[in-house]
Amino acid sequence: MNERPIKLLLVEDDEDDYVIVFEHLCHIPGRKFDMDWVCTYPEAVVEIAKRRHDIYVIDYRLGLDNGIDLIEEAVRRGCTAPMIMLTRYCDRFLEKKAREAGAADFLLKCNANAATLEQAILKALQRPAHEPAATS
Amino acid sequence: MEIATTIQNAAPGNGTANRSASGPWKVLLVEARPDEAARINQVLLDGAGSPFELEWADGMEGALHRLASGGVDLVLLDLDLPDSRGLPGLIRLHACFPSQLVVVVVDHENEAVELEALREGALLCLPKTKLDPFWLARALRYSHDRAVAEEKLRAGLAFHRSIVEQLPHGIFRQDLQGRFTYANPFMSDLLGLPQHELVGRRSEEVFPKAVAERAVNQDQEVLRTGRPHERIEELDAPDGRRLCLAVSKTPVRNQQGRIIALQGLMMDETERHQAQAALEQERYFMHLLISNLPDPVYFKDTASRFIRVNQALAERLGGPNPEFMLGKTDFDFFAREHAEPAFHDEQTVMKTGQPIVGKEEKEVWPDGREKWVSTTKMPLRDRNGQIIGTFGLSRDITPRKKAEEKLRAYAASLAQSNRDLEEFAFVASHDLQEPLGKVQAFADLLLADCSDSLSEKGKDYLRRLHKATARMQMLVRGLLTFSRVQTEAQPFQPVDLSALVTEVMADLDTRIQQTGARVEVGPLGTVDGDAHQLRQVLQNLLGNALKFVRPGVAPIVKINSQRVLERVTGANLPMEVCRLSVEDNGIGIEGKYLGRLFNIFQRLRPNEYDGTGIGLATVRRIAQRHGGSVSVRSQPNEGSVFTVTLPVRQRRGDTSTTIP
Repeated sequence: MNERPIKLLLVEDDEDDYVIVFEHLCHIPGRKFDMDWVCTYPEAVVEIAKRRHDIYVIDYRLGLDNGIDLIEEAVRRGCTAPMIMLTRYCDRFLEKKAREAGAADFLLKCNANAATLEQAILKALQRPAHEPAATS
Repeated sequence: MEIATTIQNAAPGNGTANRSASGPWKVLLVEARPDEAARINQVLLDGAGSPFELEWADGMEGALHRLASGGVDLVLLDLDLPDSRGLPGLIRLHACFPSQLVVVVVDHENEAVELEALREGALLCLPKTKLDPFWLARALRYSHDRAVAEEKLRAGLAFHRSIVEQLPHGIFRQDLQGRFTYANPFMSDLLGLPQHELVGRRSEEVFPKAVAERAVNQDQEVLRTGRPHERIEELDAPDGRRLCLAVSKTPVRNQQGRIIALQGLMMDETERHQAQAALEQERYFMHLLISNLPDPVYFKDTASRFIRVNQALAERLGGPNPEFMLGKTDFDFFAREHAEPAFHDEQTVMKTGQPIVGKEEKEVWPDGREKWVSTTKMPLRDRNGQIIGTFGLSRDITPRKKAEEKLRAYAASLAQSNRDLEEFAFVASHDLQEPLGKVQAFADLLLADCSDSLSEKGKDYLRRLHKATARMQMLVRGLLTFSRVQTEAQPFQPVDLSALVTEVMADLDTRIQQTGARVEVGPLGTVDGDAHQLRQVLQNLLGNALKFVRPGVAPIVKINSQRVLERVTGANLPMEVCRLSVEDNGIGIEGKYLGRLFNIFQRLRPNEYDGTGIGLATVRRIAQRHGGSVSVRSQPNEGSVFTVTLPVRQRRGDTSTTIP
């Protein structure tokens, strides 16, 4: 894993957050990321369908759409790569719904930094895709 | 008719008065000598068709014995008897049988004995030699007729005497000078004067001056007109009672029609008068009440026609007086949509006999005005309990209704504004978090990536920026939690408090280890509630207990619960509540601050301890949402006890307890 960069798609409608996530990923030592970024739900659906990424990091709020619907749709379309929900909302119901939809992890933006991101990504990648989230 | 009855009743059991008109005279001969008896028998029974039947007794004892069994019309008594000699025998006989006809027979004429016998009540006294059936029969018939007439007279007298003396009315006579010539016992009782003191006196001597004057005036009136006259008089009875007397007087005339006296009747009308006065007062009160009541009052007949209304109703319907409404119905005054249901209500009241009480209804007037009234309709019954209509009253509650409507609208708008405010707090906290998170993230990045190109001062600013932002974030999160008490309320379920405490202690384990605290947990039991929120409560309270510790004193926290019956606001009956207490030995709180402790953003020691001032406000809000409360007792430098009171049972699944 050390050799090949991890291909990651960030679905995020906020450029600031894109910059922050990008910077955090850059600060993870000894690991390379190949990160793509899309802003909207439809773009994300198209990108995910290409199955080019190892992992997806998805914001909850996507303009008028939301990340949970996206996760559900991706799963429905046969996506097997892990998806992490990244959100600013510390909300246990939201977390529950996200995990039920198929999110491998639920990460709060305020807690996000190089270390927590790395931990979440590695954990998600080690796990077989779409293992029922509740058992994790 | 009455007289006849009276006579019959008054008649003695034997004697002549009740003798049947036909049939022979039953004669008892009391004669000691058998030969004389036989001779008299022969004399009296001589010839066919004799009017006599003869029995014989040979002594007084035998005679009395025979008389006792009755049926003897006449006794022929010889005074010379072996067991009774002379007049004492007659006296004795009459003592036993006072109305018995007795003819005394003597051997020889003797005027002295004769007179003596007559004086003692004998009908005749005859020498035996002169006994003649013809004369004896005639004498007997006369005496019988006379006895009957006397009896009648006696009975008639008794009848009148009974009326005059027994009736509970004063009856009296006065002569033309006003002197009482007669007063019956009741009269003397009434006036408190014995009959003999009353008789011979005049009104002026018997009555108080004013009464006497009126009495004399009445007398003169009767004498002048010759007609009866009645007056009502008030008089103090001897026992102090105030009597009300009806005094009527009539003239007494002689055969020539000249007035020779006055007679009167004095009837004690006191009770009737009092009853009448009471009734009149009652009616007056009723009249006062109905007339002055500001609420319309009506009485209606079975066809719902007004039979009596008060001034208030007449005024409300624009009439000059109550009379103008009589005979009319609601249909004459109100729109059909009001008059019809009212009519049906009245029919129902009359049919069922059940009143309609305090029914709130809308009155629609012909001109379209609407009024709210509270109406009470009752069945109107006559004295026999027969329902003959309805009566009722209605009260204008339009102002109240309007106020209620206003209040409802106000409450609704208040609720809406509360919801808006909560929504606002929720959304604001969310939206505030976003830029804040970014500020913090970029500050972090700046510190991580560019610290080489920053001066020490710049780094210090950045650290301060970071710290301030962190605090802001804490505040925003606290606010979010606070607003979520309502926006994210979950239905009430049974919650195991002990399990919650275990979870909370696990969360706070690091802090417990760091402070070396001892947490003692008693049995806590289960209450109905929102598990997440109750956990928040315990987290905040236990967190505070571990935070506000005295330097150098290892915290000891005791968590206990107690079940009691308590009267809770809004509930009629005492209900079972759980008093959950968290006691610490920390820094304590000064009494003057206790009142503000649960206000949001209230912090007592901002410089010494971290915090947002939202934790206890959230505890209170959660307790209130559960229909409970929170209180605190504290001693500075000794510790505090926070007690959360929660109803043990909620309506299942209910989330409706609103926070004021």
